[in-house]
Amino acid sequence: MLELKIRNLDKTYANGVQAVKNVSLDIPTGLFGLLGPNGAGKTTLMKIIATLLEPDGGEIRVGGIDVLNQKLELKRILGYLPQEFGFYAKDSAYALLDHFTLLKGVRDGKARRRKVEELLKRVNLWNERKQKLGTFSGGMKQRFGIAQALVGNPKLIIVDEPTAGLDPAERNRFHNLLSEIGENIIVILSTHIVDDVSDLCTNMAIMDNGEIILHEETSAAISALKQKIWERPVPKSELPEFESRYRLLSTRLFGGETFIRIRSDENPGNGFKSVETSLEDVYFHHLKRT
Amino acid sequence: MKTGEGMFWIIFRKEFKRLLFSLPFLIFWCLFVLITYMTVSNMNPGTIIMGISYGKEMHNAPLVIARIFSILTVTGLLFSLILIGRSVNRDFDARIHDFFFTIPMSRLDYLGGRFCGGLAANLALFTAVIAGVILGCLPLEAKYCAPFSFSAFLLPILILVLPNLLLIGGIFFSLAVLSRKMILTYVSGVLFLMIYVFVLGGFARSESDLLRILGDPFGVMTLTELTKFWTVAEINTNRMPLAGLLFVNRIIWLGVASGFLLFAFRRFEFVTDLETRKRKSSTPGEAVPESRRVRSLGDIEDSILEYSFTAQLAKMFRNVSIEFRRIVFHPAFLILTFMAITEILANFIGNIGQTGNNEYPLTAWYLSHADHVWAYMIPVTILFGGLIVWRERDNGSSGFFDTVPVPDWLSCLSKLLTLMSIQTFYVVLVILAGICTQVFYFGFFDIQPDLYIKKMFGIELIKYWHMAILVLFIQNLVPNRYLGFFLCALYYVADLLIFGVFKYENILMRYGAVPKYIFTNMNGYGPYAETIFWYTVHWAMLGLILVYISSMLWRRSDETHLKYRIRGAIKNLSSHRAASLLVLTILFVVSGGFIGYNKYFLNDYLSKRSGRAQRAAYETKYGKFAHFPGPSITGVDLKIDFFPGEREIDIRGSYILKNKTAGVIDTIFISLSERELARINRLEFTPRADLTFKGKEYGFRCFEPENPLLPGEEIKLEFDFEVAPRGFSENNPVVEAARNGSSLLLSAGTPKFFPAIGYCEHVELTKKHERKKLGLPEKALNPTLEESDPSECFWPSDRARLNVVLGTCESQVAVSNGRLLDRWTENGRNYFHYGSDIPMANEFVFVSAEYEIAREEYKGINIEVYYDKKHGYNIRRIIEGVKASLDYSVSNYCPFPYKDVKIVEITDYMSGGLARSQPTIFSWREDGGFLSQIDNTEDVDMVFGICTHEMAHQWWGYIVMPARSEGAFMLTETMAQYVEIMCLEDEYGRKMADKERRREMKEYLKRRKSDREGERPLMRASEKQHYINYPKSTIVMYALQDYLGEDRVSLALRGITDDFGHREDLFARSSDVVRAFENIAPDSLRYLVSDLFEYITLYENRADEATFEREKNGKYKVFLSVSSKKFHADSLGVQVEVPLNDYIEVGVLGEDEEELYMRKRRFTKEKMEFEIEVEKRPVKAGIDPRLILIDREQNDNLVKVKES
Repeated sequence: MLELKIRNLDKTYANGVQAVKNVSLDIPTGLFGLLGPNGAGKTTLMKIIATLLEPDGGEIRVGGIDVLNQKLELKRILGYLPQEFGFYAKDSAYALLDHFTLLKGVRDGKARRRKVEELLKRVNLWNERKQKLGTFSGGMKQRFGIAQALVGNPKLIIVDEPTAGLDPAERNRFHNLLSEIGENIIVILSTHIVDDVSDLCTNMAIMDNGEIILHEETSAAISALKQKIWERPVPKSELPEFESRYRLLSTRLFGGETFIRIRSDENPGNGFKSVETSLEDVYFHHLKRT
Repeated sequence: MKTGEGMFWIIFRKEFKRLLFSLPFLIFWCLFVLITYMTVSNMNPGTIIMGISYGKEMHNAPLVIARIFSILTVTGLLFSLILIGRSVNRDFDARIHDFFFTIPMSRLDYLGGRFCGGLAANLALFTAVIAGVILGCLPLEAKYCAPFSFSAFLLPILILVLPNLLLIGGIFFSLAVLSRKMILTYVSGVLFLMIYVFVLGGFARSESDLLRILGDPFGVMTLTELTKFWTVAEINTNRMPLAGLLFVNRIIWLGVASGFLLFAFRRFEFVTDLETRKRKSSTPGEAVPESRRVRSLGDIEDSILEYSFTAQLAKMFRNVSIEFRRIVFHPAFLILTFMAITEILANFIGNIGQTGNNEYPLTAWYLSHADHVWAYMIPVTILFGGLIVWRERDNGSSGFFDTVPVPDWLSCLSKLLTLMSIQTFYVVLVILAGICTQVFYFGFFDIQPDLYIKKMFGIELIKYWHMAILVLFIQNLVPNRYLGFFLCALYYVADLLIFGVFKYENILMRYGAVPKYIFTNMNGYGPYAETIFWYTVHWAMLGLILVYISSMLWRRSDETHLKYRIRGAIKNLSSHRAASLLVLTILFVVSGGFIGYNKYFLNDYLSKRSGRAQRAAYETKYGKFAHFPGPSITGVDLKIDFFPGEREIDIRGSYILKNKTAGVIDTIFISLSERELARINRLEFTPRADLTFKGKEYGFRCFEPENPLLPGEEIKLEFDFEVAPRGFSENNPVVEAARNGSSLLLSAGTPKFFPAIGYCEHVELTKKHERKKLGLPEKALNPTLEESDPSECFWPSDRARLNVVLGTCESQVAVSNGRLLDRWTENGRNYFHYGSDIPMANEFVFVSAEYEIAREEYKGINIEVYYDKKHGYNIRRIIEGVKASLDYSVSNYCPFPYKDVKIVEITDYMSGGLARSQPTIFSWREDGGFLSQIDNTEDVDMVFGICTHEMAHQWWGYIVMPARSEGAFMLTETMAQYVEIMCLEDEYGRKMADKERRREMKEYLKRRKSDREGERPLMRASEKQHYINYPKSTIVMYALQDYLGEDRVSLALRGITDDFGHREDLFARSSDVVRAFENIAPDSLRYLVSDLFEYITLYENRADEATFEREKNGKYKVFLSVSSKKFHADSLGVQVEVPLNDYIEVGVLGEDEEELYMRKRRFTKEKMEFEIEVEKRPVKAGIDPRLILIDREQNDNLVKVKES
């Protein structure tokens, strides 16, 4: 079984920001969700794993590869979809994917054509294969990106904030794509959208301020808060009062009314009703705790 | 929406202030001050940038200031781009245009305010010129400074600078407004400059003055053209010309400027994104229903992945080919290619050679233009190098490309090879353009592919590749590409300054460069090939080292800081990498050392500066012996063996030296440049003389004969030298020993290859500033006519008998002066024995090459042309020229004493002129006429002309020798020019001769203002005043014979040859010639002789009006009114009008320029009127229609004749 082991990873930028603080993680095969607010250091961590940034200290190993010292070896098993990316606008989808496929090592022309066709069909871009990448929408670009990441038998796939900015339909499509990826490889999904993780990932970690504040199986994390989440609508004028009395996990608007959610081991009364625990509650619970 | 009243002014003021206090403005201002300061104070970089060289005029004369202003608007064009062009693009670049566009204001407010603000700031920049001029005058002598004049600055600012800025601003402002991309504005700015320079180059060659005056949008050429015949005095006192044509030029280009501006204003729209609308329509519909069929990705089959070396090569090849295609279709690349090829072809097609005639479209000739690709290759490489290196980071795909499993060296090499292949493609296009032009345009099929390859690939392309390596190296290290662009540009500017402007000579410090070389058609790259080879090896090592470092430090991550890459490189520095680097470094050092060994140790490298120092030392140390009496050479006996294959020459022989003085000679001085000699086996006298002194400079030696030489006694100097290459020499290999075209010159007073007797004045530095720098006193001028001694020859020249045996290899022919007495073959070598019983002036030439020989026996004289078998185009013309010149001189002056005339083609190595006469022979450079392509109906046949000129020197220079005096060249060049123009007229008719005279007159008038010595009358001209000795001579002599009659002039000159020919004790002076002319001139024309030779005389002849009426007898009566003024000018060109009592030709021309009436009429006052009856209908009439007299305004001598 392949496993990604991160030990005591540190990264401080030139401007003094410590983006990754002593992070250690074990990531097994399957989809792994790395959840955290913007600026938590997720992208930095992803880039370090993908060899794009140099950590100040620590160690990363995957399947016998010392990532920090064997970059080329890692690249041979890596599929990477960065958070932000673009393409040479005049390239066609087919031509560029063909180029990537060659660069990843598929030299035989026939095999490459087969591969490119398979992947473009898989991500539903086959009909647009001759279209210039500059004309692609955000969702199409993300799908092209994942196709690129799937080229060349990757054993470790990193997708960084892939669903940000996608409309619900595109996001859905993208989730389907991710969920199809085999069980035998590691897929790290970094995101700030809780649903991405709850929909897809069996294992997860929450990162904030450069630190891992939770690292658990998704279901376990949810069940730990089972029966402990309460909700009630609150008139706007009373919101400050509630905020001072309870530790609010989140507020949401529904039908013009403000609903607040709190965590409490016992029934807090006062009109609160027990609700089903969602991953979002877990997320906010852990974020607010620190 | 109604706009606020003061919006324009608010924007204007803001823009103006912002620019005025910006850093670029400060930098440009300082630069302008610096350039102007350096120009006015006559320092090198300034004057080179301005193309200004001062003669005797004041350095801040109004015209000079006007020129500085006009040129700076061109030079500062890129500054204008930044000041004006950026003023609108700034908002787009910063992406804050949305904010501005939502403020209520009109187009005029926004654009107009911005534009005028930028314009005003740009105008303010030119205050720097005022400061620069004032500062520049400080270090000058008072006589070079005009008093400060306000109008000298104001006029050019109003007339030149303002319209120019409006034009530049208009063009770039509109470009910026329309494209909204600064990069496009920059690129077009550079292109515009290039087009300007290129088109102007074309105009400069054009025959139409009007094109030059009106065609230059910046008025630079207009100014030059309008003042081309100005004298120093006029430059000093006149304000800038305010001629009507200047205003026409200004109005035309102001019109163009306002066109651009109007266009920009009308097209400008307040929209945020020009692309938005277009893009929307092409966005694909998202509604395509999607298959929901979910497949497990587990069924994706695994690919076979290859990481073998060949697989890596395949990846690299793909990387290169993809990027290559992108660049090749990039508009900037296409434009730059197009520009380069157009420029090269334009130069090639309008191929004016050294002689003024066209050249045959030889490959080498094309290549001499094609290496100008270099100037385009710098922007191409910097621009696309930056683009390629930063491509993925710019378009955001670096995350993908950085994480694909390819090694860093592969990414790095892909980029480098892309850039190199683009350069290669560029060069291939240039080659193809050349071949196509040769074949399809010229119909010329003698294409030399090997030359194309050697030069364009072997020398040029490799140079560009180093450029690519360097650009890649820099761009890889810097944190962003703009810094990279800046550093690359800085590198090449510094390179240009150090090696181009300041002329630093040590090429070992100039990465990628090879030393200067001379290519000749006869000898190819000759001895330079070896030097080029070793430099190429040397730089290849450094190039590889840079590539190695680049690939180790290659940017494959998002880390901007270099320290991570250096750390990584050190971590990955395996032993074999370290070893390769070490080996490369060793090879680099060793090859450099080998070059140094050859350059400094074997060949005693002499930079130009140390060469000058040596000459100065020679003068200071031994100059005191200059006038020591010494023996003369009366006999030269030589055996010279050429070994062309080995580039060796053995020189053995002896001089017979005779004491021709009245005193006893107890010391004999010898000078001998030893640099060119590999070995001196022997240098001795018989009877014996002791070597008492040997100096370092030019092998100066003193010998004391055991028995001092009594008057009339002789002594023999015997010598035995070997010339052989020692390794390779960087800057001056012994080109005289060549594989094809070896040539040695024995010239009295020149201590090269052959010993020279006495101190050689020839070695002394002549340029004023060089002498001053080295602390030498000003060189004494030749004595004035009044002080000169007619028994002293102008040259250290005696007459000697020649006897020489030349040996050379089997395939070559050896030639020398005199008659071929014998020839034989021995041991596979050819031997030639030349000699002459009649003493010849002591100027001998010894040549060996693979020659074809053309022979013709003409009136008992054997004419032979020795030429390269590929250069036989003009042999007929040459022989005709010799014959014409022989005939002319024999019938007009005196017989030719020898039986042979030889014309020998020699390599282009020969410096100091295209052709050189020696007794019975003249050597002629390949590019001096052998390759000229002449159309007899259109072109003046300069091959024929040069030939008659050189042949005339057999009389004027060798039969008659000039005395040491001012005006000496009147006995040589003036007479040769005369023979040339008369022969041209005989052979090709008066029209052709008139054409040539007109060209010469313009040449003379144009060049006289830049004379640093001050102009002199013809009979007192110094030997350096070529513009007098050559072009003016033609005009003066032609006028003389036109007035006096050719026969009478010949009669006078015959007197000179009778009196001075073949003399060794008496030499002719210009005053002797002038006296001879005076003697044969009728009293009424005495004034003319004096005007032509003793004064600088100019006329202002003008035809004012002409009408005609038909007469009853069918004839026509022409009423012509003309005016004429005569001036005498001083050395600065200050003109004083002198009273007229002159004969000037008055003429009436009919159809096809037929001369209906042509007669010299007496002029006694300025305005004269004539009534002339002619047979046919008159078309034009006027004064001095053929331009016999010197006249600065040449186009007003004729007017159309109107019917009254």
